[in-house]
Amino acid sequence: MKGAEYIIDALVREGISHIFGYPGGAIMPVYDALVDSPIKHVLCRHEQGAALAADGYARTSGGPGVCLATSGPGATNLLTGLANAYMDSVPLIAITGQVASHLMGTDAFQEIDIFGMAMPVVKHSYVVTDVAELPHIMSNALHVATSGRPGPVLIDVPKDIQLAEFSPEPVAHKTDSLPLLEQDTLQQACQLLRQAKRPLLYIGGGVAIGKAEETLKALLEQWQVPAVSTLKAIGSVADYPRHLGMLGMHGLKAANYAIQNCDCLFAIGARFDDRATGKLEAFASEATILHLDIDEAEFSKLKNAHLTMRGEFNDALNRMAQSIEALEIDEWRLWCEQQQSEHAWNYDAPGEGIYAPAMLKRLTELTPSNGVIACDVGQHQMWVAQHCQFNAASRHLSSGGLGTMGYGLPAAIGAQFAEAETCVINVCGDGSFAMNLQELMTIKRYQLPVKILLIDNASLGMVRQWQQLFFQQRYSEIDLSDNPDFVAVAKAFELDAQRITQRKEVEEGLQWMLNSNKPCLLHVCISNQENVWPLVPPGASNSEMMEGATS
Amino acid sequence: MNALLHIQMDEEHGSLERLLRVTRHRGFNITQMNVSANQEHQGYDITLRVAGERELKLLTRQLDKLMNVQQLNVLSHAHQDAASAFYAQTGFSESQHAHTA
Ligand SMILES: Cc1ncc(C[n+]2csc(CCOP(=O)(O)OP(=O)(O)O)c2C)c(N)n1
Repeated sequence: MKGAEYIIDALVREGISHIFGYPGGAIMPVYDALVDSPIKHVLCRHEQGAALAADGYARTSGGPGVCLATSGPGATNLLTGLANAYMDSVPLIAITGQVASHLMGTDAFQEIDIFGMAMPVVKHSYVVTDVAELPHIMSNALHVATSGRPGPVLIDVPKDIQLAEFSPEPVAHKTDSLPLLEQDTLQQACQLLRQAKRPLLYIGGGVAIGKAEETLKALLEQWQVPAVSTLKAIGSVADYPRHLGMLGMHGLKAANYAIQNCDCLFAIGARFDDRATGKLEAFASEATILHLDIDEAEFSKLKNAHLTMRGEFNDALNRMAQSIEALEIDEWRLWCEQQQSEHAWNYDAPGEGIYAPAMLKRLTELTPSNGVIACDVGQHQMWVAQHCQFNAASRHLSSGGLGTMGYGLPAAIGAQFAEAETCVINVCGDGSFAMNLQELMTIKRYQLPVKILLIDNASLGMVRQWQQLFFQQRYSEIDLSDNPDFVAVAKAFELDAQRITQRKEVEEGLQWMLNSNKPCLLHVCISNQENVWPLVPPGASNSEMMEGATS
Repeated sequence: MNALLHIQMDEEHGSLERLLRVTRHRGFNITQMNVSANQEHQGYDITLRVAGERELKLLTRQLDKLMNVQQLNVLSHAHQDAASAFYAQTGFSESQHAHTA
């Protein structure tokens, strides 16, 4: 068989049902092999869209996402998607065509050293130099992408390798089990938790990646211990009543105050990112820090942990639940409850205009519980994180580590392919929407019932907010008041579209959008003065939260 | 901070580039490097002298994560870093984690 046929066969054998991609000269043999394959290829309209759709597919399904591109510009267009997956530990396989082996290194037409360019944003990468290596590489690539701390893997395949005939040797499937936490360490951790008067769990995206959400929920219920989440962990412990919400720069006050007041912080699958911790020296400064993770490189990377624990999460958490039946922390629970009620959201905003936080809260009340929201990046992303409810982290697709504007629309497309029956909503800003606008064509072609909630503040709101607060209102290139008529744009791609501008239209607008079974867009016009609150200014401690008026 | 590392690495496409990239990106300078192909383990034997302001483990843990790194040993490490001071002061000790490939 040909190398190209083997690549597709190997993906089929690994259970891959969808590929997101875009064809071109150096990848033509693989596209030829696709013609006879059961895999569904989704033609996105930009390779960045393809990579981000594969990312959304992976996050929703929990399995690997696959994207495909040609050499040169096709490959370079994938890079943002690879970086996005890298920063958020998403299992992704990117296959790129390359010029023929004898032309590599000669500046041939569309020859780019994508292997070199992608190195900083992949977990691992390969250039296939001999077709006989393909079986080994395909199998390893899938294993690397999905095991341990997942991440993107690039396979660059020269055209002659794709065309080469060979008889593949069967490869042994690689499986390695995750290490289990040593008993000594576990006992030490339990000891510290038992001694603590004010213990707090700090939940990161790793919990969902480690498929430990249910185990963690059970542990929380048993211990009745307060907990906070990172952006990526939102949804992991769903409606656990002692969950104080997201911590960090735009975190909930109760969550940030709890961090500052706890005496024992137990971080699980979290990486002490600067947007979560604020000023590091002031972060949980009174606490003994326990850190459970699968990636040793995260231990004491930014904040020294008193006890570092490497082990598979389900096993570790189950054993801890056995070891500690209950925690006697009534006073602390009460204190946290008080914080929760004292700092509960207030959805009353003056005026008749649409108040985005209230609308988003209502959106999740109306959305089926397994619904997926894919956000873009900016103020609307933070409002989603603050005001929407999710029953698993896989329901909230948000570009956390990279903050990639333009993520939401392709991610929603990926999610809709992963789960055809699920209600998938892209909440985007007017700036972000334009970044991968071409993917409306993908939605049109496949008639995906993706719902787009476009929150239009006629500006790059998040940047405007920072210019207002930290650059003396010297507004620079944030005005988008000359936006096109987004309803007309949507209609041009055969989406149903409506516009709302008044608070009294919100309920009907949301109902219309959610009841539609066709691709649709709800254009929501809001004030250009609205800010995201609270806000921990850059470099400040998480206890220094700014609060402003709603306009 | 100044340290001497010994690294065994697969002799694969891009191995050395990855090593150099991670070292640069994580904030370390290479002051000396010696590479030789080793028949026995079919890979590179590398000695690397690095200097930097950051704690050595921030580098070694990242290097250890590279798929091509088979083994990494710290041969010498000059000056106590902030992490050791932290553990000395708090009475905790740094856990050793088994490395799995
Ligand atoms: C690709 C990319 N370019 C630039 C930025 C910097 N950035 C962060 S938020 C933001 C504004 C986003 O505007 P919009 O999508 O309209 O959302 P809003 O903040 O108004 O809700 C910008 C430019 C980014 N995150 N990603």
